Amino acid sequence: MSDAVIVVALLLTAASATAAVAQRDPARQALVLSVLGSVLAVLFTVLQAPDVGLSQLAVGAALTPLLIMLSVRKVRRRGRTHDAAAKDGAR
Amino acid sequence: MMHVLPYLVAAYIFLTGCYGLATSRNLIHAIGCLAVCQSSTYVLLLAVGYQDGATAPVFSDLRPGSRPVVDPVVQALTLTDIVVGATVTALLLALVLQIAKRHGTVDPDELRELRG
Amino acid sequence: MAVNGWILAATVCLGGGGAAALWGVTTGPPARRVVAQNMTTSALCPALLLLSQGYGRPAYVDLALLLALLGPVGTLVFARLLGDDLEGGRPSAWGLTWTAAGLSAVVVAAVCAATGPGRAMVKLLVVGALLIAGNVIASRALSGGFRGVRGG
Repeated sequence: MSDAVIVVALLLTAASATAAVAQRDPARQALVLSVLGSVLAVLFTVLQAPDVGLSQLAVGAALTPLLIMLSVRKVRRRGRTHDAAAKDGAR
Repeated sequence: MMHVLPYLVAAYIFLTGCYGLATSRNLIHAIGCLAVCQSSTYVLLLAVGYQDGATAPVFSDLRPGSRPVVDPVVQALTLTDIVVGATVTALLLALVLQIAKRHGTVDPDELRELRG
Repeated sequence: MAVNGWILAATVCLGGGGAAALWGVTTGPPARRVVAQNMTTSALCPALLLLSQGYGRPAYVDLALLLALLGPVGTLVFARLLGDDLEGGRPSAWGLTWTAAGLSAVVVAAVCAATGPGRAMVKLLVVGALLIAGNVIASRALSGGFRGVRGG
């Protein structure tokens, strides 16, 4: 019985990883990475490693997506001010 | 089949992450693919330590020696791996911000500094 | 090994909820994707509670507690930082929210009944309360209910 839950968790992880790589836009990829982090935590529970799952939840479900979203915003804002400055310079 | 499946899944996730890294057109997306590669190592490590019918080596609600437990050493390795992975991700994102500031682009194909 | 009903229920919860959440996060407009990310915590947390009961390890409830705390935090992060992308259509999925809340309540009640009164049951009730409250707060933030989150 516990074999079935391990198989389901492993397949779900593989599907989440494929989805994370297939999302080319970084903002959308951050959403899938958050899901991947939670699914990994469940996989670690099923493999009898709850303390590793606690760390993975803290890091993967909230921290990594937050970092990526902040970087995306910073890069986008830089791109927008750049275009605005170029337009002002061309005028 | 059950004995081999975790290793197959770890290899698949690693190769998927490598594919994403190689074909990425955005450095932030590449960092996400690197995170996927790192998660494959967590799966591999825990699969090495797993034992059928054993339980977690946490003794807050279990008397030591009453049930077989899985290997705790690989769990410690995986914990270190997770924390180091988060640090590397943060450092790489800071580098990407500097690249965006200096070159105005995060497309790896348009960064020409290292061309011969 | 005899069929363990708890682990079977956890497998069903994990498989169904996980697959639906993954499908929602990868397809469709950004509004649906954020809602699916919110639903991930309310689909995976009951699975963790059922697993803790199935393996006979009350220590695993700590994972469900942390997920109930950090899941809505992640959703609020996305609600704040994806604000521009979501301007087009504010997602409101109250039917889904209340269904997920109902599922959480059922699972918490079942595990509480199996645990019996004591400190462990109090912890389970706290997890259930956090799960439902976090789900409702995150859904409210996504449908534009909090001006502070939107940066207004």
